[in-house]
Amino acid sequence: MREGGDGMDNGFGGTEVRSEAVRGTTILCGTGLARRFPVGEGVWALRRADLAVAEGEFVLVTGPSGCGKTTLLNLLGGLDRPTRGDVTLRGVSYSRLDESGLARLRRRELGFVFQFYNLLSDLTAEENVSLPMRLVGLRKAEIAVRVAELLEAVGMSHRKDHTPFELSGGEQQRIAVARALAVRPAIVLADEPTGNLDSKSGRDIMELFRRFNRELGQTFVVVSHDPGFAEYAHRVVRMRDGEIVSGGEPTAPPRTAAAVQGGSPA
Amino acid sequence: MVFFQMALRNVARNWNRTGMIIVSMALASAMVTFTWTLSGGYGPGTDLPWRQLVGADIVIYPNRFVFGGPAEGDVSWEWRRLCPDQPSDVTLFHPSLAEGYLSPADAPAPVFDLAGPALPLDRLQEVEGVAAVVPARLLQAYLVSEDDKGTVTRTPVLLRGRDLTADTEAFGIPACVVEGRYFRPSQQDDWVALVNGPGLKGPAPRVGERLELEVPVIRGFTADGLPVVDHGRLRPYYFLKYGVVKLSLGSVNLRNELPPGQALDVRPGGAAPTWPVFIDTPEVWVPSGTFDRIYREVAGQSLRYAPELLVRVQDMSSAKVVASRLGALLPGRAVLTVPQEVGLSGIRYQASLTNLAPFTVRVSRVYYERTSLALDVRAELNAAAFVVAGFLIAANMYILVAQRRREIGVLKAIGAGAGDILVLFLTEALGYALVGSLLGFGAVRALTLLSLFSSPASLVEGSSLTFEALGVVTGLTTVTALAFGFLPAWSAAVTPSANLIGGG
Repeated sequence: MREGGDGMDNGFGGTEVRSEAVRGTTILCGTGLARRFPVGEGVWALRRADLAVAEGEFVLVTGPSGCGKTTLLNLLGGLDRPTRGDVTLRGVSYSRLDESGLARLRRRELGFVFQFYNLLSDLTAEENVSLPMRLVGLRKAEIAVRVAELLEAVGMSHRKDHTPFELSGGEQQRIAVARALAVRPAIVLADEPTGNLDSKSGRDIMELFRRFNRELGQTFVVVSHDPGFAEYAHRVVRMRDGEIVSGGEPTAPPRTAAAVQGGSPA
Repeated sequence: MVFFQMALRNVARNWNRTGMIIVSMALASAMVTFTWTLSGGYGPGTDLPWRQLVGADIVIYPNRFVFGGPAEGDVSWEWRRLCPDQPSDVTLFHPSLAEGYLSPADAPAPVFDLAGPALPLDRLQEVEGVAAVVPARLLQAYLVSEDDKGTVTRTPVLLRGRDLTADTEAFGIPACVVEGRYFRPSQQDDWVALVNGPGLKGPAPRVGERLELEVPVIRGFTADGLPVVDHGRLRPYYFLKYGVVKLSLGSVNLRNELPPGQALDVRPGGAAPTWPVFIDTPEVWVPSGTFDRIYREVAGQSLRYAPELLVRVQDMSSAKVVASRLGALLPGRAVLTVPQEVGLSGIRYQASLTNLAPFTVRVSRVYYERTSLALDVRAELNAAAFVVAGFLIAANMYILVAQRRREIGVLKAIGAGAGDILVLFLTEALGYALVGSLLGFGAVRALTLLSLFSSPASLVEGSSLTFEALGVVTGLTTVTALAFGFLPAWSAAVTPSANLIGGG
């Protein structure tokens, strides 16, 4: 576990932003997480991981390819069940939830951004963003306002009626970010969100994350094999061979007035 | 509701991507529709000539006939015999009935009493779709011919009185008269006759010559109305032979065939000739007015007892529906369309090799005791079509789900439950099945309509393609789609979304 003040070298050539001492409440906690896939004699994609994420924190999970980053993220997001260990989100244990319970949890508390965007190809940008809100049962008028705000925030208002096939990779990922933030989830989990983008578009996405984190206090856990993005995060979790080798405990994220009031960056 | 709307929107927007699915669904639906049509349609060889021969689209027989008989121990059925002097189309289509048949013990009289109160002729005339109901005019007779040596031959023939107006307007008989002419409507009472040439044996007068018939006198009628014919008392009648009726079976043409009973000398290795096969029942046709005059003379009264009722329909495509309506009015009677009769009788013309040198082929008419092969396997064909259609739909559904596993994963990631996924895919399946089945049904229906409109004599079973059929076809298609769509959709719905989305 690493602790410290502002401008501390994070060991990956970037600077960890830790301007304050640990202050946010831990909202996401993975304990003793392990995942074995029944391939051949069995492959341990994740051997043991303990990770806590505080509210408002921006965590970057990094490490070499195949070290278990995506597996860890899937377990944290309830997209997969651990072979051992458990995850709690705001005190709710995943192991106590059945599939429909997990689905409800994901619907209200989690947002996802994927490497390949994973927008629904039959829906327009606007419809993709509105889908999570429709799932939680928001009223149409409220959805319309919120979608407009989010598209404005990610700079995609002018492309709201376009389908994913009509958008560039960077644009699709912006829409995916807006979708992830649609229901103001407790935490947004991003799996290699820049992995399929050119470097400029990748940096734009990371900037978006940082902006939402700073202005809204949105908690982010971002997986990336690129240590260059460490400068955007409060904390860097490093993994190797299915284990967390550093950064598993939360540090203090900066809290903003907007975050406290739950305002919109738009 | 969200997923229901989303599914409907997907169906509406996905014409390109899922065009193949819809086409496949339509294909499956068309197969079902086609076999449905086939199951209700008419068999091969049941085309126009038979109806021209009988002079009707539907024949109503006085009794119900069965071959198989009732269940063991049921004593309410009895064995009956047709009166040997009772000419009827029954013996044309079901020759085995001449030997006897099973009939309900309380069955009505074996003839229709046209003057009796039991026959609701007026009500039959008023049945929707009926153009005309007329009693069959049939008598036994002998065609008398004399050869060069003065030997006289009497060939038993069926004397058939023709309704000339109907023949001209409904069946277009003139087109089938390949030698001589057909009667003109003005000849209703003239002494003119047509002969069904290929069925006659021995020398026959040529067209334009005198034709002699001998008709046995009817001494009276039994209590059941059956004629008591005296074959020792024959009344001669002389006609002008006006032409020869040659009713070809058309599509049943055989190689090396000849009119039944004749042999063809064909050398091995030579080109096998093709000859048309004719309906060979020996018949003499006379105008109905002339027939009625003969009948009055040999029976001493006007036509009162008819062996069958002949019905012409306004539209052959609805003949079966009309037949069922008539059947409802006449319980215990057999009401069959002529094509049904022909199909059920299994009449075939068969060529058999009788000699190798010279190579001789004999053509003979064969009656299968049961139905023809095509009719026998009709149920199996239907079942096979349903199974194939079912597999087609099942494959479509698997593809539909397999194509979109990632989408399912994403939906689950943003909070969709297994039930939501099911709603989404089953609604889409329903949409594709409905659209596809409507297209398939519509395509087959269009083809049948085309056939119906292109020929007034078409035997396409138009009446079977009703709203009821549409309901069955769409229902079967959609139920199959839902049934086969459920498994892959459910399988994907319960798979962890991490597996569906895949690693990044």
